[in-house]
Amino acid sequence: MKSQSWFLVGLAWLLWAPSGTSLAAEPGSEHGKVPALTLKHLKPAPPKERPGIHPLIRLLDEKGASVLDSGQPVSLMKSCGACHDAESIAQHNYHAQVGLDEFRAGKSAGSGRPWDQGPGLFGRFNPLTYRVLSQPGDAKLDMGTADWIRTMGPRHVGGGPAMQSRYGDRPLAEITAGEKVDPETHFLDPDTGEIRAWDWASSGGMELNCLLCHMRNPNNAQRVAQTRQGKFRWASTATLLGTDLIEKGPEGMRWRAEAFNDRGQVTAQSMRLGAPQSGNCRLCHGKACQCTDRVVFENSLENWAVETTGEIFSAERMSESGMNLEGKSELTAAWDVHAERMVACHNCHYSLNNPKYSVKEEKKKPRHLRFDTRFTTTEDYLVNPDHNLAKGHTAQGTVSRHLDGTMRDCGDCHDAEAVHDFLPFKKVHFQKLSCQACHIPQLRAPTRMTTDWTVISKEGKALVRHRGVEGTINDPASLISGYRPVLLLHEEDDGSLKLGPHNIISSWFWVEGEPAQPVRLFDLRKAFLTDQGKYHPDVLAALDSDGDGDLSAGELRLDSAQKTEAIAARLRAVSVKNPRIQGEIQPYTLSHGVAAGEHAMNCCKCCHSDSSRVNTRIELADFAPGGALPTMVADAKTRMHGELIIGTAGSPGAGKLFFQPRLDPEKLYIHGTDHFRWLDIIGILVLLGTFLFIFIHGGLRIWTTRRRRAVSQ
Amino acid sequence: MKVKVLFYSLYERFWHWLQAAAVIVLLVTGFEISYASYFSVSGFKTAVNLHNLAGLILLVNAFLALFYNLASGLIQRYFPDMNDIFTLGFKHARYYMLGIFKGQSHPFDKTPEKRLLPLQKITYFVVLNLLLPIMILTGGLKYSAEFYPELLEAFGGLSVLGPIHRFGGWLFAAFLFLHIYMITTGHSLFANLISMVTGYDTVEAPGKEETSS
Repeated sequence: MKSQSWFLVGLAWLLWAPSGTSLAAEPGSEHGKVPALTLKHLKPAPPKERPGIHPLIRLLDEKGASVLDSGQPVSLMKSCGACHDAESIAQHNYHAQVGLDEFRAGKSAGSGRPWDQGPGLFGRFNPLTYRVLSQPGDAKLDMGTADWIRTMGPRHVGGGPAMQSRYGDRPLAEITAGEKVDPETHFLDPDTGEIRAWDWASSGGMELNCLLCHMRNPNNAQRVAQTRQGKFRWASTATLLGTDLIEKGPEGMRWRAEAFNDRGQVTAQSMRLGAPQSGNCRLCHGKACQCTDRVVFENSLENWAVETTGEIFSAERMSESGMNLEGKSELTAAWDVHAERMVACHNCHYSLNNPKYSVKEEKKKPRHLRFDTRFTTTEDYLVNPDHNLAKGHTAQGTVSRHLDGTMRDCGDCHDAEAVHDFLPFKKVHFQKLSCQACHIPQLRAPTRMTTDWTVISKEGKALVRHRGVEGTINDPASLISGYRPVLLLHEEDDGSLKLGPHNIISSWFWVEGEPAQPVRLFDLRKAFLTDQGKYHPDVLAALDSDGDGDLSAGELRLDSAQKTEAIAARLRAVSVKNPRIQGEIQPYTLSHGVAAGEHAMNCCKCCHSDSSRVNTRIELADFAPGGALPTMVADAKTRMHGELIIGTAGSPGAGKLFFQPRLDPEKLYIHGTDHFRWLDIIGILVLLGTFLFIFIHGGLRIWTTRRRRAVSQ
Repeated sequence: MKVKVLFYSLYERFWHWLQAAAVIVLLVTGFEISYASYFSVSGFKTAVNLHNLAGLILLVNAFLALFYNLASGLIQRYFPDMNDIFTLGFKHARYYMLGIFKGQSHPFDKTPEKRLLPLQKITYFVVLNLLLPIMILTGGLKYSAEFYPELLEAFGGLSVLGPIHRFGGWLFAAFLFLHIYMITTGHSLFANLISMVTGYDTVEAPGKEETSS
């Protein structure tokens, strides 16, 4: 008993002792004390400095000479390629290829858009970024290859179409412009509309940038700056700014000789090399947080994941974030339970021949083999790691569909049947619902709902609306309510359909000609704005309802035939042929922002009732610009099982466009939700008929009995 | 002379009330599962579990009764013949449509051996040979979705079996209410009910002594 008391006193002192209280005096320490160890000081241990096992690296330029000697930008293909099979890595790498290896020049792709040439970032139109990759023979040049790199390069790792001609015959850096306008050799000057030749010899191509993923804290801002300026050859080198290896002076970047050894080599540590971390992925997929700071995010295309899905992959508790979240104090869960449990991006999206993750391969081996000795060895892997990273199967992940479902999915780590004891008919539920359907019940970040390019702001941007925020987007005072994703049927690897959570982004834009092609941003600006950056008088005449000489966001809407025709006339005036409005829907499958069991959707009536999540409508837009109802892209592998409806006058959603899911009971019959009305009516009539018979028959019996009694009396 | 006669053995009464309880639980929980937005007694999850349990009880009880009636040969009394369907059935129906209001006595003497009257035979024949098997089959197939989903799909899947099962539920509900009402048409209001509780009923049985089990 006595010893217990002493233990408790000691423990209390340990916990609450003010910092500075000495545990033990150490000669030479300040005041002869060392800081006390209290729980307040307990933090995750800093990563240990491990002795590097990576050999010294000789940084070479694209000609194979030491950068220290030539002063030229580093070529990672040459430097890393001295040991690793860099060519193969760049080739088998959908992050680099972004659709170049599936490019179908001059032919429409699976999206159903006639102007698309492939399924990836290179060749597939995205109304969020808007500009179209031009094809040879297009009547008007919009985005040539050089412009594509400048526009998309900030979210592209390099290599693929940033290095190689789309025709596959030579590197971009070797191409010289001819007389004929070609999207690979020419670009559109956005200010003048002039078409000019691009100097590939000067800019170089943008190599696959190994550092973007394999370097701790790469200097992405400088990489992006070089990319936007068209200095593609320097993009990788700029990524190293901030290390001891290179510095930036008034005349450009300069290698620091003192950081190299006498053989012109550097250590991997000096380049901060290592396995990719989640922070590297965030550079392109969404920089919500660094996980050491409070989560503060901005909705923009630079924060792609938040903008398109609302997903935030962070270990932080939502209640401790820096955002103005609705009901924040009660949001004690982490933004993503996997992040909270220290799962990193590469744990699921690993290299496909990484021996550590051979689970999937193990399943594929012939049944008669207990062990397949031909699996990749560590040596093979180090030389030629497959950079086609394991991927899931999402509506938006249209590139490299042949790799869909290669990633470690929920069932590869979790045994769902071992838990979920509360759930009757577990297998049936798991067969019809993706895990995410319940485990991503709500996204707590705003996300994009509408992109309207039928009108543009004075900055030449589309009008964008977000869901899940009350007030102006990115205003710290705006209340963020988040949104409940809509459940759509998504095609699985085996062709079956499962309900999974999605965000839906609807976009409207003008198209011209036949076959249709989106009207160039340059032409839109020319139609809407004057050279002085003000709205054109004809546009004002059509849209300026308050007559103040300017257009507010509320006025920038084509909600009548007259307004639509007025803008179409303006477009025709700037040589746009047969302009008409087209709307489209792109679903985004949600896979992150996962909630643990206690925060997942686990109420039966959430789905098994008339107000079922499965049939809950989702708002698509304030209105349908130009009256054009959007259609879904054809390559999403997702079914929009339902109909588009416009809110009726007098209802809270009057005039708004909604998607109302109506699940075909023949595909998925849900008890409590699905009713065969005529069968129910017959059933009710049978029961009512029975009651009526009982009532009449019983009533007559009572009446006749009383009557007989009265007569006999 | 009126005598008390044992109509229902202990097993038959136990069987009846267990089946009645199972059917009531099935109807209530089935209604809750089908119309969760409008009707809640136990909560959806409990309703599903109770429905499955009651279904299992009903199934086992039905098979035990089948075995009992087959083994004892009593099953014959459940088969209506042409006479039951037409001549006697018409006479029986006529009593319920007219005679009962005039205070006429029941046209048939109920005995332990002939305890099922013509219309009862016809109704039970339909319920026990058509409705109950359909409900057991569709319910069982729905339940099998957890273990043999391909079996469920072979019979058209939930989209076919679900509505059939639900419609059968409506018919069962109608049968139950009608059955409860018809209890009151005995020689007194609660005579049939009491006989199913105690096993005994009072009948005109000349020469027959009171028996006991």
